[in-house]
Amino acid sequence: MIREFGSVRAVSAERPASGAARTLLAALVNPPAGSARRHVLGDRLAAGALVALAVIVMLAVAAPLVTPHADQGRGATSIEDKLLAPSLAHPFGTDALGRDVLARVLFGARTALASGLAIVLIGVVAGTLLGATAGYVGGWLDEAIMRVTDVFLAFPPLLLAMTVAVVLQPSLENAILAIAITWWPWYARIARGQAISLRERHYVRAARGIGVSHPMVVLRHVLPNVMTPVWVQATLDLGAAILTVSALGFVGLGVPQPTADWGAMISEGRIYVQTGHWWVPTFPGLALFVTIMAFNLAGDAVHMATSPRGRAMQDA
Amino acid sequence: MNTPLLAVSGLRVGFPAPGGRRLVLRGIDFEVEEGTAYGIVGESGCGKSMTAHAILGLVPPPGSIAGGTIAYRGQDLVSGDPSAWAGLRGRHIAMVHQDPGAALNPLFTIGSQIKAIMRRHGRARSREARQRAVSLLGELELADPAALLDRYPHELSGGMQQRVLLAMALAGDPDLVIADEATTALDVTIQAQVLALLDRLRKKRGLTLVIITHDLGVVAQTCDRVAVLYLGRIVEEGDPEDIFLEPHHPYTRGLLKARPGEQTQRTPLAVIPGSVPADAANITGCAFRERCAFAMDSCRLEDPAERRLSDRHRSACHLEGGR
Amino acid sequence: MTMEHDILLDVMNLAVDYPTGTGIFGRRRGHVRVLEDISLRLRRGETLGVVGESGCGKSTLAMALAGFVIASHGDILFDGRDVLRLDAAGVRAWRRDMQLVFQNPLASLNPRMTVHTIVSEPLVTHTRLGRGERRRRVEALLGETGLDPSFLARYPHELSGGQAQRVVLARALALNPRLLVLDEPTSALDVSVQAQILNLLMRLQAQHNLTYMLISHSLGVVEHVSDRIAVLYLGEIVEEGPRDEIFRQPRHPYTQALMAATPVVDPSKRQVHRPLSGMIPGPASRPRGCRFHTRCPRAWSLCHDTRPRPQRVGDGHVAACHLLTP
Repeated sequence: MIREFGSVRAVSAERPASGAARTLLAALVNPPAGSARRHVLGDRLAAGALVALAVIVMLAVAAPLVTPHADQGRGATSIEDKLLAPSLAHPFGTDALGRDVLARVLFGARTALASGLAIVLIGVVAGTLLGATAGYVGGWLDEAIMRVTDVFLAFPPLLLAMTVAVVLQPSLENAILAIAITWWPWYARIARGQAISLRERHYVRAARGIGVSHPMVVLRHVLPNVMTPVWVQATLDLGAAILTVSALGFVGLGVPQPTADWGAMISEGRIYVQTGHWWVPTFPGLALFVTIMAFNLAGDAVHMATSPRGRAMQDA
Repeated sequence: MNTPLLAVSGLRVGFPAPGGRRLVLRGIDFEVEEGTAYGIVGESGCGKSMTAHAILGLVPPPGSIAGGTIAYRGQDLVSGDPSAWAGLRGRHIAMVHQDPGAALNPLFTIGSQIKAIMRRHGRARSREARQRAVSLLGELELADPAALLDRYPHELSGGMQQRVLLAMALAGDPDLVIADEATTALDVTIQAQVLALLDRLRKKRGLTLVIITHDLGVVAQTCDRVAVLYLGRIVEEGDPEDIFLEPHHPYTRGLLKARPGEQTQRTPLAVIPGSVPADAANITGCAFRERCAFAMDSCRLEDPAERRLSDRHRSACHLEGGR
Repeated sequence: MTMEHDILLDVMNLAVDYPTGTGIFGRRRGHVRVLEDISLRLRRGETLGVVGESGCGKSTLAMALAGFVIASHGDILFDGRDVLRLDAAGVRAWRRDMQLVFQNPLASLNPRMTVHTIVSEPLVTHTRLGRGERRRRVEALLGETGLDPSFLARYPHELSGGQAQRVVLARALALNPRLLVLDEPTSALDVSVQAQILNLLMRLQAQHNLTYMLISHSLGVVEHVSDRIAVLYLGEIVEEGPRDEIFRQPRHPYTQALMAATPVVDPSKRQVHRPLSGMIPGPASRPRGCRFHTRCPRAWSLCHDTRPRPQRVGDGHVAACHLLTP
């Protein structure tokens, strides 16, 4: 699953400056005319995904208010209630430490969303600044930054994140940091490609021509025009970022107990499937599935909305 | 009188728009006699490229032909069998585009692209095709045509690419060639070569040409008939002498006067105020009246019908008679 | 003859090289000369038209004047100051005195900025005007270029080509420049709009006592606005002189061919001449001797290996052709 995300990202992280690649991409994500039905279906899916996302975000934010077991969501145990089957009092049942699985799932959503968002934001900020500077300045600085980027891209992201997580102390911040380190090179590449094409644009030259300094040109003319494809990529990546956090949690290198984390919950719960307590890993798994699905569909919708929708009718 | 090779009548092309259909061609009539060169001039957005696409039956979706007829040798194509229309393309009617870089496939050699067209139209077997391609490129005055066949488009200069494009258009041995801004991207000395070449081909092969351009000079130099297009309508049509020496429509006159050159040295140019509106639908009456120095009440009330000024000269303007 | 202080811009023996492709390890492989031995003088308040076809180096000339490409040889004197050897403060002043206007007006406007932000950018960069004062200045500039204040909040994509070029000109005028280098300022515009912009350019020149270098492929445009004309072919000036002389008595075979090839709108004057044969060689394959000899109908043996020197053929009129040697 992770590898698949990796390969999808590899395609879309191609330098957007190359017109052919962009056309190809547009053709891939944007079927040619005559597929009105698919468009409507796509619109419905996208709308559904956005609604689902809104619900997930609201539930995560309001987690302490929607569940009567907020303390258990934060980690308080209640051993006497352990491994209760789903009921009205515990709709998702309870886990081996007697904690309400629904509360744990809701609090897990907070971890997932916050860490996913933080990873992508750190990646975007670091990546665009480095990439845009590399592309705009060019020369040895470009070479240096891009070779570092290549080194990071040469590692499988999860493996690199695991290594970093092992070296650092296990904590939410370190998990985020570990993944963010594997994340920024993608944005750096996109930003660099954009910046290189922008550097030759007349309006960037025009700004230089009226005496605007290089840092101001980057700030006012390059960065704003670099951001669009970066944000599109970032929305597409949110799902993958959350998945990676969970994967880290699953192998025990993520967020430490007692903080609720879907990956860790699935990992710890999987032995209970054999003993018939299927609800322990299933509900966090479903939550993860739904969330990532929603993010991916919404990301696709953003991508579709911003990619060139065929050339406008033109009459010279 | 003979049947003209191409007769376009009442041609309308529309695109879906909020609240109905937006017409980009609002009723176009013209006839092209066999063996002549017909010029269509106009500024951006006048619909001149759309006219070319419509003649080929290639109106880009979601646009469509909303009315009128396009008769090729007396046969209407619009109401006829679409496959018959497709059969004409390349074989009887060919088009040369503005941007040769975009019209040539970068992945194939010049030779394979020309031969593919010849085979598709059954003009030559594979073995003969190469021979014929060589002689065709030679006819277009390209040096060392045999070697050229094995080269890729990016290895050629703009002028050479444009000639190759012309060769591809001629590969199907068409009767009618539509050149859509075919020389616009070229330097003037190269443009002069290509125009002279087109003229020679017309005389030698009996080719019929429709030359679509924004450059009044190109039309004045090469065409037997001229139509001036404004916002999807022919506002004036006539022989070159009519259009360039005795223009009637204020738009034609404005275009001619706005050209900088010998007579205008450092004096303010006559200007057509404003710019071409995006859509004619919002303008009642004559589409040009908002930019016209001679606009009268009648111009607001009704879109002027076409008037014959002479046998071969017509203009769509309320203004009386000559100038 | 002209007095020295009449000269605003003096370009002397300017040469520009471009690196030709880079090897796989980024090492430069060689250079190709795109401008060679360019000498031009612009008097205050006059317009010099520079004409030529693709590959003649006319845009490179503009880029070299603006400092976007580095001259490999020669000097550029602006008002007596050596532009190629300025300190930081000198560069700042030069950026105010000289403005470059590009061919495609829409491409020279940042798509994410409003007209107001665009036109005020030079003011923000070079002056300490307050917000209100800046806005008044921007409005005045737009007014001068024929745009009303309703355009302030618009984005470039909401402008027509002509309007965009007016915004570009307003931005160029913001710092009261003395020299405007106009690189094909109207070639992306329709004929009717081109006329508006040319009129505007001439009005602004008269009002602000501007000096223009207007680069164009269109003889009509150049003939209309220029006092003097320089004809470029493959990186060299083949002929230069007063407008009327150049048009009435072009001396260089290339200038003559260029004029003959430009279609005129009079159908009674159809061209009967044979157009120039052959293609324009690329800068990497510039012919030896006279650069034009591969296409020149009157080339002879000398032209194949000896470069003709510029000769005086009239008052302030020079041409570089062996046929003109007495």
